[in-house]
Amino acid sequence: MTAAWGGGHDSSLGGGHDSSLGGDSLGGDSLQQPGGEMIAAVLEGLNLLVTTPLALAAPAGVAWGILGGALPGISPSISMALLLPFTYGMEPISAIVLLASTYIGAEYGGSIPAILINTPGTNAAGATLLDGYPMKQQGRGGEALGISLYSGVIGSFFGLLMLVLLTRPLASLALRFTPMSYFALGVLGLSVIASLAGKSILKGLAAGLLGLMLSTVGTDPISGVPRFTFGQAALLDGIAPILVMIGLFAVSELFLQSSQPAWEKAPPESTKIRFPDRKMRRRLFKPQLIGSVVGTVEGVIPGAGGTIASFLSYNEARRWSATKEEFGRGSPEGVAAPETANNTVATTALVPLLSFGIPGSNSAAILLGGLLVHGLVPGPRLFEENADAVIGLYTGLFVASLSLLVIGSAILPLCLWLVNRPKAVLMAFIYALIFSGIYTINYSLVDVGLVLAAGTVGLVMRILGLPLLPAVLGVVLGFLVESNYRRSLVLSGGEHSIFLEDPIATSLLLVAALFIIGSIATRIWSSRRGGKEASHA
Amino acid sequence: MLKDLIGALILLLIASGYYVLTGDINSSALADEIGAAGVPVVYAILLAAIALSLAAKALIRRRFTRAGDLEPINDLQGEGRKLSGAAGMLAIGIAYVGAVTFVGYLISIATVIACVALYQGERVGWRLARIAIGGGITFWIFFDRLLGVDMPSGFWSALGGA
Repeated sequence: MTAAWGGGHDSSLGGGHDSSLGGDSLGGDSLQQPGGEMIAAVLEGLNLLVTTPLALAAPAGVAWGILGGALPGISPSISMALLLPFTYGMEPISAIVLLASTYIGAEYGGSIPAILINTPGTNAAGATLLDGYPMKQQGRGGEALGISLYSGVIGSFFGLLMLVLLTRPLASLALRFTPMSYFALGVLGLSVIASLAGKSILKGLAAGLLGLMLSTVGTDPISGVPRFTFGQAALLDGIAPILVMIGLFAVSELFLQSSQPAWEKAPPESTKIRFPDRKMRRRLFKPQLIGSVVGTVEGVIPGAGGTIASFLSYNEARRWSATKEEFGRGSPEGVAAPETANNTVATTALVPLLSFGIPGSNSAAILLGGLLVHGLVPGPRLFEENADAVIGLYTGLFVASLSLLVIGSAILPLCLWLVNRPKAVLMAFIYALIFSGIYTINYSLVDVGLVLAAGTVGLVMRILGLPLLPAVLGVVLGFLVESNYRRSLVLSGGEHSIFLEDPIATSLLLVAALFIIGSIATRIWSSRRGGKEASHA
Repeated sequence: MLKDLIGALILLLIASGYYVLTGDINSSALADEIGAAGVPVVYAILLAAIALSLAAKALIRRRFTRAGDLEPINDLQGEGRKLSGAAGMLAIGIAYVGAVTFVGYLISIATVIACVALYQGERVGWRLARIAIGGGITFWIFFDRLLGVDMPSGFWSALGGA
């Protein structure tokens, strides 16, 4: 763990697992230099494919993600959270690839119930449903699934290209980071709350503060005195973010689902996937391009996410389509654009995560948890000290994108079987899986109790309309913010002007301020527009 | 609106409780100018301020809401069902945590599967028994035997079993 990410909570973040990636065979330069070094990186990627279980982890993650995404209520982040405990004992590169591949698979998986039973498996698939389900009603369900899969693969590859091109230049900036810069970076990460707050910015702030409060549990980063531990040694290392994430996302969802009616069943004869022919591929080019561009922009901006990208690209695809009138009535373009966009986001969301350690979405937050568990700290040092982990991740994502095409069509019958299982049985098995998985992390029943508590808090937050992601951001970034804030003040003798003397810190704080002002301005503009439309109506 | 008022009250309680607990944080000779309790105190005050703002906002909206408005005053209707549904699931979870050390993982996890399925509407019968026993054994084989996780064995260990 680097000094920047603090010291007191090392074990809670790292789980006591040392990274086995110390041997940087490429000396970190492979990711800095173009040309020859790039070839070395590709060769290293191929080497990792042969010498590590990477080639198995990527398709396994995709398969798990598709199955999870296909189940209504199980979002990509929940699929990843369920898998997280199992990655503890794994070799780090494979563990990270497994999680990242799950994200890719889940984004496609969400379109399966959206198309077949008019129920989006993920939030982002809500846009796919608009034309996917009408296509299925017209007996073109197989065609819709084929377009969804084909577009998802295109989006995934495009996003991977953007990830490789954008991440390193951004991360190199972070090499010059001081404690002041890290504090400002943490504040920038927290400023995302302004756009993630949902309907009420006050509720978003409250949720963020709850997360920040949880991050203060454990040993104080400067003086070493215990805080809020109630004499429990188990709490000295703080509350591991993974427990909070699984509780808030997965357990609270199960709690909520327990009072919901069973979801609709998919007809058993539901289709074989039919991939688009050449004429159709030509027609889909424009919406896929729109989806790729929108997905890249939305993925790189923390807080935007796949759902916004899907709806935005759907809207743009309709705007630029020659057959606008087909949208909403079974347009193939209406399936292609959002599916390309959400799969592009699945990879480009890793840009702010790997460069600065800012998780811009629920799924990226889970992936951050996975990275930290294995001692991999996002930022420039990741590229210097664990270059093979980054190359492994890129290689794994490439394999995952390829295997999405194969597994996506092969796994459909299993998805249909799973979707049609009684909800009671599915919930029972997921609950048992969570209990068993959490216990494997530290062999601790206290952890299981903490997850149940976090699940209860998550349910109350959902009922009260408090968004979950700001709380997770608070837990993940709280220690970074507090420890570097106080270190900076120790360096300056208590003078706050030190934050304005550091150019990077000043720039980041300025960006954070602009981000917050922009989000608030957008809210005011949207509400005024909504008010005007209502008065016209 | 009622939801926001109750939410604000809960947040205010949390902020107050957290603030009181900051008083238990010891001071240290190694402490910086801010001290170990400094940042938590700021968090508590900020949360309290947000809670009060939420409450004020909800009260103002309530004051200006008229009959026939789209937003109902009591927006908590139907939420009780969610809480009661969750309470059963939580109780099963707490019972598992309490019992697994004594009863052992295999029996506990099979019972969790049976209880959750039953709670969610599965009928009592051979099918439920098959699901619970099959699921329990599958989980036990996967975690305890294949992954080598030392799951609690409970009274079985005294009998020399799993």
